[in-house]
Amino acid sequence: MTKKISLVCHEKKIEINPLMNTEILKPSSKKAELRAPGQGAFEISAPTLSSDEINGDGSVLCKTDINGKNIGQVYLETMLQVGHFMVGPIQKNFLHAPKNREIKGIVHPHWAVENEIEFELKPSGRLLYCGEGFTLACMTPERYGVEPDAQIWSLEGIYQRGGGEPFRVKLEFDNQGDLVRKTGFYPTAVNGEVAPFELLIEEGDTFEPFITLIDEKGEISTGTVNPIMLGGGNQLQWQRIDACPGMYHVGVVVDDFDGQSTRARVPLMIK
Amino acid sequence: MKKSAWRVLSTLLIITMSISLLTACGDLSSLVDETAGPSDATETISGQVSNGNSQGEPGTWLVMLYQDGDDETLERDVFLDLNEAEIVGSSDMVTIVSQLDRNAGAFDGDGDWTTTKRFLVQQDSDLEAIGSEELADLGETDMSDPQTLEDFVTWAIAAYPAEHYALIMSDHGMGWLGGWTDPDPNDGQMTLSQLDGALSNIVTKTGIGQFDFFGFDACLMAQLETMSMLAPYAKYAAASEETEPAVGWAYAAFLGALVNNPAMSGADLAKSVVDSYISEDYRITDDNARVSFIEENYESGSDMSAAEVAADMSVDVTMTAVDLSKVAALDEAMNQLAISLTQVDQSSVAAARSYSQSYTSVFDKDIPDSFIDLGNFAELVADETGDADVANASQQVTAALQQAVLAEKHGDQKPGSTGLAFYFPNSKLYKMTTDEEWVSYTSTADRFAAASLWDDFLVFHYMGKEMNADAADLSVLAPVSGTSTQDFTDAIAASAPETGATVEAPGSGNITVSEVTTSTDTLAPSETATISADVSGTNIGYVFYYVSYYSPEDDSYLMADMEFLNSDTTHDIGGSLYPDWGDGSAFTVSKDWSPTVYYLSDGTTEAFVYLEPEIYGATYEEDVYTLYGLYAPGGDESNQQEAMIKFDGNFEMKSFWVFTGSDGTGAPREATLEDGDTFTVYQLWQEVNPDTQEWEFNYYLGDVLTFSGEPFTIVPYEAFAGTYEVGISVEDFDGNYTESYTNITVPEY
Repeated sequence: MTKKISLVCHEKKIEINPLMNTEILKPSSKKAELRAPGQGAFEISAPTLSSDEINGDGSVLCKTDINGKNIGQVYLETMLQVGHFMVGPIQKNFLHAPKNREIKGIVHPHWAVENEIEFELKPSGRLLYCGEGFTLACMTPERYGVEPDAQIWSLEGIYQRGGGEPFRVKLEFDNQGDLVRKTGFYPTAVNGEVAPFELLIEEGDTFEPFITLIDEKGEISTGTVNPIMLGGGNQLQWQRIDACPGMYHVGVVVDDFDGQSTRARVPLMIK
Repeated sequence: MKKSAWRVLSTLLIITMSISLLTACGDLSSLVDETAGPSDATETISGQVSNGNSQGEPGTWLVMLYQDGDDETLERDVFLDLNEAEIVGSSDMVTIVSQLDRNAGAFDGDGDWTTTKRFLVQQDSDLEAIGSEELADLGETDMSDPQTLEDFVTWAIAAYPAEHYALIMSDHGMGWLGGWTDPDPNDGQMTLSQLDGALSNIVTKTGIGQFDFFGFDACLMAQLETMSMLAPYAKYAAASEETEPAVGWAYAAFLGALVNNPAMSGADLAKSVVDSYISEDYRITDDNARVSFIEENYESGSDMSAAEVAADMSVDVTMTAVDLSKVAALDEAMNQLAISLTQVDQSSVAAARSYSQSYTSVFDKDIPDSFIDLGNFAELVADETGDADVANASQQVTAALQQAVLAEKHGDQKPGSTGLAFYFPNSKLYKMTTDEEWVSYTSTADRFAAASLWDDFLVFHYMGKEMNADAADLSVLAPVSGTSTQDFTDAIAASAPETGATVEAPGSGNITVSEVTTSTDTLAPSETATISADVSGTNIGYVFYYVSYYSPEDDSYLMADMEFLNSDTTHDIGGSLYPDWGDGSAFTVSKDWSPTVYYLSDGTTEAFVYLEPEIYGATYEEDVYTLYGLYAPGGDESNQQEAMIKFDGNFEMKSFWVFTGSDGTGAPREATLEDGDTFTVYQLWQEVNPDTQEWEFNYYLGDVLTFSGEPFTIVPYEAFAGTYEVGISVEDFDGNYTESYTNITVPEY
């Protein structure tokens, strides 16, 4: 069963509300073989850390090997252990390939068949603020191969306006923490598709960011964290914070060319 | 192992392809709506000629704005678009008409009217109120109905004939899926195929040949699929690959350009839309309007200049002007690229899909973007494959694209955008969008499917089906003649995945379940019957027993119970349990059944329920049973939402969930029941569909319970008298069920 769980970080209480991991009901598909040419055919070795315990302001070296084909993007990812769940990603960022290609201003990685990955991780987290309100922000980078200051960070969640129907939104922030794009997804009556639109924030609206939960069985589900009240002359901004003490799981996420993700991680205690 | 058994799909809608075919051009006067027209309209307003224009004279334009503002999120934006058009107003050479549908709720400005009205757009500088002449109040209309569009355009053309025609449709757009949602009155959506049908009727009825300009002031509509649909009906078009900001198009700017120079062509108008987009929007360029705009969109920065606001808003936008007469050549180039791609390593093609510039997805958040920039993909796939033929075909696509795209702009955060996107799903989404009962790519974008080999390539890419290079018919992109009929059924079928016996899912099991035997066919509630059946086959996933009560009055079966049957061998992987039914040899399953039915109690009232089992091999504490129903906050039946309650194996209520979607779809959110809230249980019936004569499951509403502070409880009862179907159901790895059952009678006692 899934119940609300909570954590306290830097004297701020974060409540996590698991959602059911339920897909939209759809009719069964035709009986036909489906192949996925972009599906990953690679192996990720168990990551190793230079230390399995560090202070909150410390850093750690992480190594792993990714060998095979159809390696799309590789990310570092940090999850926090809260109760029976790993929650996060507390940190997620692109890992850069030794070789890149650029087509019309879009840079993409060119991973080899054998890749030795090594990166230094300085644990940190992000909080989303609006005035005095705050919540945990598990953000994802949008653009590979750009300068850090040009990075766009996205955060999806559930948006509520007054007593209206809640709907999904995607907020995008620049690397300085400012909100640069707000996309709402209007649920259509047909087939569960959504129609995107530019969201205009009104005073009293609330936003509950999504968070990923991984249970002890490895099953991945989505939850939300504390809703944050918006508007009222306050800017929505994210800020980086030192990682709060606790048990983390550090590793990599590899997206294949079919859009599927594979993860490997190792525990890290932050004192 | 989580398992959801026999979920019923009664709420799913079927998109049907509808292309109306008309065969004659009628007298335009017969098309004038009797309820509305210019006959009693005012002659002049504010120095601008309103309807005394040079109707039908050479050089005259009719601009038709189909403005669907009937939802909470877009009402004000669409309302402001009309007000921006009023900054210019109609002239003696340019007549602008609007059909605007507003929302009941949301924005309450300008008298808070909520119906659909037609206007002759006249000059007025007040952005907050419509000053144009109201020609008709149509009441509440369904702007998602293609007939509504057809009625508006045929009326406008008949009432205000001109030499040149422009149609601009604004609302939500979803690329090849269509858009133009309208929750009131029918909660509908106009698919691309339906829009195609409406345009076919319009050009046939009016005899205008083609629109000089067609605008999609909506998100995500600059796609090869949408432009292929438009090609027969219009000469030039403008649309955006990416989502559009709420400010929409710069109506005052491009309409002003047209009024100032009515000699401009449709191409010039399309380019003007691109040039003026964002940077010349009246709400940004006008000092007073900008102050209001900044207050609404920025928490600070009231001293921002127009250039600063425009620059800030332009970083992630796109806008494209298209010469639709060049779309056939672009499709042909794309076809050649598709043919060349069948000869290369498909993982390289998949890599190009992954890395190409993409735009906002309208599907589930966990599915990768599928709207891909065409020019960017063409370059990438040539690079990734390193194949000379692909490179050559890619260059042809790039060249054709440059011919088709008259003008294009994109922000710095959308690098690689070349003006038109196309659909390239990953495997999961491909599977979903080949399903005629959900949403079918080829049925929805049917004209494109007829003209293109891209849909055929997707079948090759994901299913290995050999591609027929002759399957494309580019003639469907030619302007529609007055009596043409077009049927894309063959083209859709040609690129459909094979069905039936020739192709089998690897997880299907060829399972048989023997006749179910029972130790007794008459059973007192306190007694137990043992039912048994032999099961054989491969790929066996789960085995269930189930019980349903036969209702003689309805000649239908009411689902009463279902449970996993455990295998002798159960595997545990990471704490997740699943059964192992052996190597394909036949085995026997049995179950002791004591006639029991279950009720949900609120402490006062009880309702018959059917609980769906969720977890195989769980302990009572870990087990999960789900009960579906309708939740009404405070008992308000006008505000009911789909919901479910979770119980553990001890029948203790563990959680309560509400679905965000209106039909039980969407993300369920855990909620808290409050005093006075009601929960109407769903009953699951198996009945014969009178149309198909097939047995099917359907949910019906059962009894209503009211929450009063204490958790609902499940109460087991001895089964009431009657006939019960007690059966064994076997599910294979592909999700197919095979059943067998016996009837057991529970007598009166």
